[in-house]
Amino acid sequence: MSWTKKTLVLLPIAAAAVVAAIWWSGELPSDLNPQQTRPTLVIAEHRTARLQALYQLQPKLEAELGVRLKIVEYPAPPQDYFTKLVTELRAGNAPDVFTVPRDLQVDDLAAAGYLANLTADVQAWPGYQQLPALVKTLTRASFDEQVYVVPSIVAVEQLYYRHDLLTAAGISTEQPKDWQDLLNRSRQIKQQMGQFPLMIPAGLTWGMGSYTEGFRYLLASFQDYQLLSTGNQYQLNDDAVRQAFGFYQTLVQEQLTPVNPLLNPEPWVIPKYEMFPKGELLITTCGSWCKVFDWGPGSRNPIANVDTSVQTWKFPSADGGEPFALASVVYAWAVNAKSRQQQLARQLVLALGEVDVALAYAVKLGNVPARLDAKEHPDFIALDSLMQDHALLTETRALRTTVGSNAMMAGVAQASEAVLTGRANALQAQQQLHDYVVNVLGAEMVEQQLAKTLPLPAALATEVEKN
Amino acid sequence: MFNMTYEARRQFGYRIMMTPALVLMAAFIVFPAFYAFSLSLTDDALLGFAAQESSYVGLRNFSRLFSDPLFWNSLKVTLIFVIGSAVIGQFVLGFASALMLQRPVKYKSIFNAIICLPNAVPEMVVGFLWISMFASGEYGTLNRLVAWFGVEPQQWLYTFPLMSIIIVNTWRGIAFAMILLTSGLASIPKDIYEAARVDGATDTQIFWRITVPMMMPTIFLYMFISTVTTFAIFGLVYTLSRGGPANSTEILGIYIYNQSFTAFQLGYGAAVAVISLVVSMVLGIIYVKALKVEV
Amino acid sequence: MVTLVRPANEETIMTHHASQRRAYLTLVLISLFCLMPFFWVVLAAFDPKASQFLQIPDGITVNHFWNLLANESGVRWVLNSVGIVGTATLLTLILAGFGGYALSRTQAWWKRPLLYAIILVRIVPPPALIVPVYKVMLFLNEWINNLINSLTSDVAQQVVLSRIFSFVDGYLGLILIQTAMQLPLAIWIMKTFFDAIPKDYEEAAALDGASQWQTVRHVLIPLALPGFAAAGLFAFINAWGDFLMPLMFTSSPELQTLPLGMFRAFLRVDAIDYGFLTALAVIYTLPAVIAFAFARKFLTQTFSGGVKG
Repeated sequence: MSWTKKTLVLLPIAAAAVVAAIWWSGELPSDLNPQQTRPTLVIAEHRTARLQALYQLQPKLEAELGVRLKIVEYPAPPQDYFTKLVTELRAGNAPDVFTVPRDLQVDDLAAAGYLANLTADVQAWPGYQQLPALVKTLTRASFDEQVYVVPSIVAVEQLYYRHDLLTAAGISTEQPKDWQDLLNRSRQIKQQMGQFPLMIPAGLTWGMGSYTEGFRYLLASFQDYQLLSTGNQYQLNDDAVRQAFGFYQTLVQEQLTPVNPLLNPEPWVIPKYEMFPKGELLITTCGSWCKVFDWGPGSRNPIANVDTSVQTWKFPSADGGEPFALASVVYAWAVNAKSRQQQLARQLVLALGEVDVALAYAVKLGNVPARLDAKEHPDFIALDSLMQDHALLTETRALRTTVGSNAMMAGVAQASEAVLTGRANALQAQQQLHDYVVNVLGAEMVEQQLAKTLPLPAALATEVEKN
Repeated sequence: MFNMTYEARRQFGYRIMMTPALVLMAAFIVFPAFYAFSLSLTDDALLGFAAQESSYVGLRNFSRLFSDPLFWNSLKVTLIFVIGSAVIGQFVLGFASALMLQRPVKYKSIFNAIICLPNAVPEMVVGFLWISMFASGEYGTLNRLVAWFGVEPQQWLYTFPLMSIIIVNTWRGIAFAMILLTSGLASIPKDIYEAARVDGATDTQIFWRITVPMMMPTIFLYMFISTVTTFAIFGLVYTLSRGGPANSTEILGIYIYNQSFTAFQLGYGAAVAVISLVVSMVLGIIYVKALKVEV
Repeated sequence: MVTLVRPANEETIMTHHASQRRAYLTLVLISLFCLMPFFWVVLAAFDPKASQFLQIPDGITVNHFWNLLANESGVRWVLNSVGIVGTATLLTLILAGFGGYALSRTQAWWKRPLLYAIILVRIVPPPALIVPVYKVMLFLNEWINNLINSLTSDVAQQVVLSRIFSFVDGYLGLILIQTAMQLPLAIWIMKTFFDAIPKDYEEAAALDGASQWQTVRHVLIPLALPGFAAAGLFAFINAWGDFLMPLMFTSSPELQTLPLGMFRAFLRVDAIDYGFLTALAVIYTLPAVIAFAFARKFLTQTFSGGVKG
């Protein structure tokens, strides 16, 4: 070979060698640092607000537990976060400690064997006694009643309405007593103001929100209905399900809800961020974060004096029960079942379950601390208007779910879409939901026995039912 | 070994040389392709009890598949995507470029380089570039362009999602069509053109009566290659739209990914993959047979 | 005669001009279409106030590129990409060199079926493989990590070893899967090039008393050099640009390569740094463009295999 040819070959090889040297030199020190005596716990966190909260708490937590916390930033969009987490859990390289975004994901993760069983740990932990009974229930997997997560914050969800506009129009702003009352109020709003009165999320594009922010309220309106049977199957043949779809049907038929925006991609944008601030929509379901992120001073279309102009009603019951607010345990802490540092990781999640941590997160995210003793903490005052939501905690409702909640929610999204577009009535929608869930999860996951039936669907739709 | 003849030893050597490559391809391509079939008969999942132990469910995944509107939507989207970008977009623009570059124009190599540029860009960067192009609001590049024609600012990826990804893939693939079709054009003997001209044929006549028929084998080759490669696209669309909004750009590859890794149903995802594999293998076998590829 | 020909000539010249204009117009329009998206990325990479929108920068800065160097993750992503794709390319070349040579020289019964099989393998759409490949990788991953844990009980060593040799979220897995994906095309190219080298050369060298190794080194490799160049370039371009495999098989930030790093930085929806990302996009695109410029002349030679490189 000639010299030039040799250089042509040698040059890339030399360059590659240099690159390789830098590559490996970057690899070694961080992991093999001999001076590093404190054990390292890897903790996953995502979204700027949550990361900021955790960085603030980091020095205190590290000192308290005598560990080094390695905070790994995860993707911000909920779906990306969850996908990354689940694939890592499956591959066995997940972080030691992480959050489970919603309570209804706990069963699926626990059943897959990804989560460490924390039952013994929380029973010996004073903080656990400070949790409302409902929150405690939501930390347990439905199939073995073991505790798999340590809750920190809770989202309290109910109806948000434009108090300023309703008052101006002379429409009552009293708490609606039952579904009928809410529907009558809606009809009145439509008649007098000519705007869409009520929006309850539904449809394919809203995805799992069609269940969590929509359908769930309607199911919870029946005190003696449980989504899970005693045999831990989904009860989809119950009349409550049909009536819940019937509520949508009424809203659609009487044009009480803006249907078209719900069929769009990103269906929340127009009703929540545009119509509601403009007063073209008067009542919507929302959560404790809404006054901050959706319509607060920093949002895209802020509502002036949001604290007074937007106020809340509890969601009315369908069966004569008390109106209620819904609770979701969000971002509860969990320990990787395959963590190499089980003991320390368990200590860490308990430390993360303390009130000061919960308050730091709650303030940044517009949620409330899960623990009842939070109100004795000096920082509680920082919650501001959220303190009212915290007071509701003991009387909130929620529906337990089990393995396959994903499929159940996808089924609700599809079936409610059919009601929105008028392709299905309540009964057909119920059938569609049932068939979908059976198709995906298998018949053994769905209660087949028909529960009680009422003669007329959508009792609310007709005045006949009342008489 | 020493008892072997020289020829036998050599043949043995060839097998040894072939083996490492075959092992890798078998482990990561061939075996998985067959494994997809058996996975598609299970309820394997990344969540729930099935993540620990999956069970055989027969053809349940397939019966679900055929009644799943999202699956049919995905097939439709894939078909439109392939036809719109590979069969029409890239082909027309690539053929036009190839024809024009046949003429005695100046700066040939510059045009050539510019048209090839998009082809060299990694998929992630393609998505990134076009997200900026399609950005909504009056400052988005495309919105400013159409503003010259008096068009209101649009949310391109939201209002025309499928059209948008077709445009992007067309943009990326012009070069490939151009290069392949240029090589086809170059193989047409020059004297045929001259003979036609002497006979007084017009440009249009020459194009339709000589160029196109003579190019047919190349065009077939192009159609096959581009269909197969477009069918396999993932990253380009995923980085741009991730199949959304509302499944409007959910081509088959993305549907498989979403079912397997956002709905975490591996068995069902494998069932979709089986459909995708069958379609592409049928295409491949037709191709091998029809063109009797010289090997 | 002369008078008859002249007007005809002028006419052809006229139409010639018109058609030339049409040719230029077509080419310019297509070129503009091709170039348009690049203006933004190039301008924004040097724009102190880079945003999502195309804008003429107030000033010019190279700070974004310095930030890449100063910002550990940027360098890390570049080095990871270079390391993984480089190793995969090298491995592809070695395996495809042997494989292509064997396929070219052998006359055994398996030659034809194998060649057809390689065409079919190249047609398999990678997204259809993600689920089974994921399962295969999980299996191998479990096996290798058990092996590592039995070799050493030191947690720090386990971590380093498993970072390197893991199949999921490790260098080895990514390198092997990228190699496997590039092999069919590379073998095809190498086989085509070896076909063009007459067998007599090797035999002559052998008769001259050259050893097997000498024959390979002094006869075969130099003659097949263009083939290696073509196979290497295509393997590099494809592996460098691939998004699916890194998406499937990387999770820790230490392992992130350019495409995934960019994608995840872009998912930081509430805090996207466009200057950083555009500078990164420029860095990420340049090697691919350079490689493509070299590879372009080989492109038509890969068509016979049925699928583009």
